[in-house]
Amino acid sequence: MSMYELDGKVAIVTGCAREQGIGRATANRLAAEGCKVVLTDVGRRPDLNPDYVVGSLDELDEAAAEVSERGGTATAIVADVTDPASVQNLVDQSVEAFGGVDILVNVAGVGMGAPFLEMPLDVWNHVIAVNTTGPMLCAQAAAKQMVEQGRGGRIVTVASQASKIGGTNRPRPVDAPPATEEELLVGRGGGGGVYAVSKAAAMMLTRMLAFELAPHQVTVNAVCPGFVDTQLLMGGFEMRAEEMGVSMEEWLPNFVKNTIPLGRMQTGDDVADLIAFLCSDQASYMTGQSINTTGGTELHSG
Amino acid sequence: MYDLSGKVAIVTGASRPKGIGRATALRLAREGADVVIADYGRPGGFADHPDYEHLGRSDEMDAVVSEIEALGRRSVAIAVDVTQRAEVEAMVATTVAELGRVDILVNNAGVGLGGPLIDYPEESWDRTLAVNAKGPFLCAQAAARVMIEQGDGGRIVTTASQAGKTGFPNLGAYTASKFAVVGMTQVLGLELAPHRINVNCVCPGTVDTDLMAPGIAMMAALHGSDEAKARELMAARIPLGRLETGDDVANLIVWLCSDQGGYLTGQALNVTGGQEMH
Repeated sequence: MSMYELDGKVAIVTGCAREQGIGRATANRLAAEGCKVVLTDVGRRPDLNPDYVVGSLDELDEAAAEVSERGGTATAIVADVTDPASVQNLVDQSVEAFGGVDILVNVAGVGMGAPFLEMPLDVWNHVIAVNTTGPMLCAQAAAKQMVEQGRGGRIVTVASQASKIGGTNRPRPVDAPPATEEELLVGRGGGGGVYAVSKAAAMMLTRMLAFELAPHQVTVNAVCPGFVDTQLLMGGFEMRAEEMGVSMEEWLPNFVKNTIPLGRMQTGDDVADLIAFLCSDQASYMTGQSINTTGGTELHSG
Repeated sequence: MYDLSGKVAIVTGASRPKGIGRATALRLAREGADVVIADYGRPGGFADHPDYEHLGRSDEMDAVVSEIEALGRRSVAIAVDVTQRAEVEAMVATTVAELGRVDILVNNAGVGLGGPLIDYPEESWDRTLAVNAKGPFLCAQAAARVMIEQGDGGRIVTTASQAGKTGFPNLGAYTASKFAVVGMTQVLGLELAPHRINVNCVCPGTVDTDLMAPGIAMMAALHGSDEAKARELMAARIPLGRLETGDDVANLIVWLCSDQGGYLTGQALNVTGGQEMH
C-alpha cells in the first residue's frame, strides 16, 4: 500500500522491536511506502530495573525480517538512544547501509514511574534519558546528516497525550502505606509523573527543533497517541485491573467504553497512519506540531 | 492516494479561484468523491455589508463544477447563505436528492472583516460570527443528521485559522469566531463519536487568497513597498519560508477525510509553516 511515494527515502525508526508496538507498525508502514528502513532497538534491560521488559535483539531481528518478508528493504541496527556514541554509530551505519538519512522517527520510550514523594532519582533520570534526551540525540545526529545532504528531511517524535494533560496514573491514596522498594522498582507505587514530564519535554523539543531546522526544510513534528494496545500499556492496565480485583477481560471493555470517545483501543497502525502522513510531501507545510491521535481522549493542541 | 470513491462531500466556500475551498473540492474529487460546490452565489454583498467583495459568485461555482466533472466525478453547485438555517437544510436536502447521500462536510465558508475592536461596528461583529461560527454549526447539524441516519459514520472538517489559537490585532471578530469553531469542534467531536463521525478543524496560517489581499496591501503600505515585496516580507516571518497555498491546507483536510485520519476527532490541527505551534 503505497500512498505517498517515498521511494528511495531512508528512514530510521527507533524502538522497533516489540511486536505490537508503534515502532514496528511504523517501520512496516514506511517500508510499504517505499522507504529503506533502519530498525533500531536497545536490546538490553535497564540496569536500574532488570524486570523492565524491553524489545529483545531477537525481536528486533524478527521485526526487520518481517519488513523484508513483506517486500520492504530493511536492516536492524542495535542502538542505545541515551548514548551519543551509539546514536552517532546508528546514523553512520544507516548512511553506510542505505546512502543517507531522510526520515527519523523517534519511537523508543519507557513507561516507568513512581510516586513523586518517593521518586528515586535514577528512575527520574532514566525516563528523561530515554524519552527526552534520546529524541534530542537522535535528532541532532540525524539532522546534521540531513542538513549536509541539503534535500530537507522529516523528524517525527512519538510523544503522548500525557504531554498535554499530565499524569496518566492514579495518585497513591493518602491512607496507603509508603510504596515499598519492590513496588517502586516495578513501577507499582502509583504516580508516575516523570513520564508526562519527559513527553512534555519531547513536545517542546519538537517546537524548538522545528524553528531551528525550518530553514533547511527539515520539518519536525510530534504525534501524541492515546491508549495504544501495546505491551507497554497493557502491563499498566493489568496492574489497574488487579488493584480493582477484576479480570482484564472484565476491566478493559469497561475502560474503553467509559474513556475513549471513538470506542476502541488504538492500534500501532493508527499511529503509523499519522506518522506516514507527516513523513510525506502532503505535510510539507506542517512543522512544530504535536498532534493528538487519541480517539478523542485528548483535545488540547499544545 | 486515498480511496474516497462512492463518498459524497459538501464543501462550503468552494468557488474562489485561489481559495482553500476550491483546492479542497478538487482534491476530494481526485480522491474519488462526488462534490457539492456550495457558495454564496448571488449578486451583491451582504445586506449589512453591501461592498463586501470576496463572496463566491455563481459563475465561479459553475467553473469548479465543470473542473470536477472533467475529473469524472459528479458535482452540483448549490447557492447557500450558511447563516440561514432554511438554506442550509435545503443545501443538504438537495445534496441527498442529487447525489444520494452525505459522507463529508467541509465547512470552509468564512469572512474577514478587519478593524480594531475599540471602534469595531456591531454589524461587522455579528456578520463575522454569523458566517464563521454559526454557519459551521448549522451546516454540521444538518449534515450530521443525515450521516447519523445513514449509519456508517462520516467526516466533518472546519477551516478555522491560526487566529483560532492566538489572537491577532485588527482581527478581533475573526479571532473570536475561529476560537468559537475550535470549541465547537471539541464538543461535536465528543458528541458525534458514538456515531463514528469524526469532527476536526484545520488552522491555516498565511494563505495567499483573496481574504489575505487586505493584509498584503496593509503590509505594503507599512513598508512603502509593492505587493511582491510585501509577500516576501510575510514569507520571511514564516519558519518554512514561504506563503501557504490552498493546496497545503487541502492536503490536510483530505487526509482528515480519509480512512488515514480515522482515529482523530475533536482536534484543531495547525498547518502554518511553523507560525503557530499551540
